[in-house]
Amino acid sequence: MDKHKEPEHLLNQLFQEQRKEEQKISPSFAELYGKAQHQHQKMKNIKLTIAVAIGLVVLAGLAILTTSKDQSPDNIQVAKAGISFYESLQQNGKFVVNDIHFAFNSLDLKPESMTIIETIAEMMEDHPEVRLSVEGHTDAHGASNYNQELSASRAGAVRQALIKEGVDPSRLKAAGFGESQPVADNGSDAGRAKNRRVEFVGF
Amino acid sequence: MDRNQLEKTLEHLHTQSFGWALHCCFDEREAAAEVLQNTYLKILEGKARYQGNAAFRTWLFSVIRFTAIDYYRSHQKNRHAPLHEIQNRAPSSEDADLPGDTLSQRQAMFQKGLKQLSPQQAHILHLVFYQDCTIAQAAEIMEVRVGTARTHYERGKRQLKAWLIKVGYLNEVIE
Repeated sequence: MDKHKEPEHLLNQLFQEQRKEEQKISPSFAELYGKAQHQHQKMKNIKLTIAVAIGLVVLAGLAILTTSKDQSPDNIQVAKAGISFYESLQQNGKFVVNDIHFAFNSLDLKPESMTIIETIAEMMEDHPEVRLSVEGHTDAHGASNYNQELSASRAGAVRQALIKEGVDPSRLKAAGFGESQPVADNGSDAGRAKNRRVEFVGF
Repeated sequence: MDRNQLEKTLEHLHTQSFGWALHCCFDEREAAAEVLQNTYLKILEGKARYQGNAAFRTWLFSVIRFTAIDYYRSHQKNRHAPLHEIQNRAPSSEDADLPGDTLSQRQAMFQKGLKQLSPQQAHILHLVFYQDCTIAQAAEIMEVRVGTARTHYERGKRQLKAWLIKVGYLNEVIE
């Protein structure tokens, strides 16, 4: 017998025994990875909610500065709306975005609008069951036919931007409603700003 | 490596990873589970990203080791031993009774022997004998030179054999 090899064999045996014993107390992959995924999702949701809340607070601040209607019910509503797109979709069947902007007389999204597009795409990635109809609306300024066409084209552009961010096209539809469905008075700047919007409606 | 592939690889290596986490956490099961969960979280968050520079397991084990160090650093105030003691702990031969008592008498004796080693020696022997790593892979995980790892390996092995002879176990086997 090779006396030098024998202790090596014994060490191997003892370590393998240890491995077998420890395998018995090992938590499953599903358990630990599942917990990590849950924690990760929670962190993402918190970050998303904070980002949306900050965005809304900034918008509310801007609205206050420009309209000086600090106490109007609308402003209070915006300030209270510190919830994620997903939560809004769950509660109302849709969420509304007023700050997707396009270059003048164009279908090109302004770079600052891409943050919102990315946030929506991320939300859709996290919630594979969500399917959205992108619905464009305009104010009553200009010819209604032109507004109808513009809103449809811009809704289509938003849909394409989401597809570019990785959302499956089958989960998205696009439609334009022009000036036909106002949510505020077209007689004021503030009202027209509210009417120029994109609604994301679950389907 | 896409997400699906990554998850499958992590699942495949899970038991080994837990063994390594347990070793890095001084056989504390709860701590090892938390460290491994935190490792998975780091990977999910992209804080630890596999770049393909080393074998996947080598990379993963490095992440686990650093996560364990972070874990003990953040739990330092609540621990019985400060960090420098944990990192350089060389338990006395009196430190024999393991918590849990799930190992056989032979394993308990073996564990007592392992505790005679320096942490570096114990890490390298664990990686080579328990995880079937080569000395070069163990050196990469521990971020030491291969020559240094080999020295730890030889000295650790010699010390462990001496311990096994001292307690009479090795002689019995040879006879």
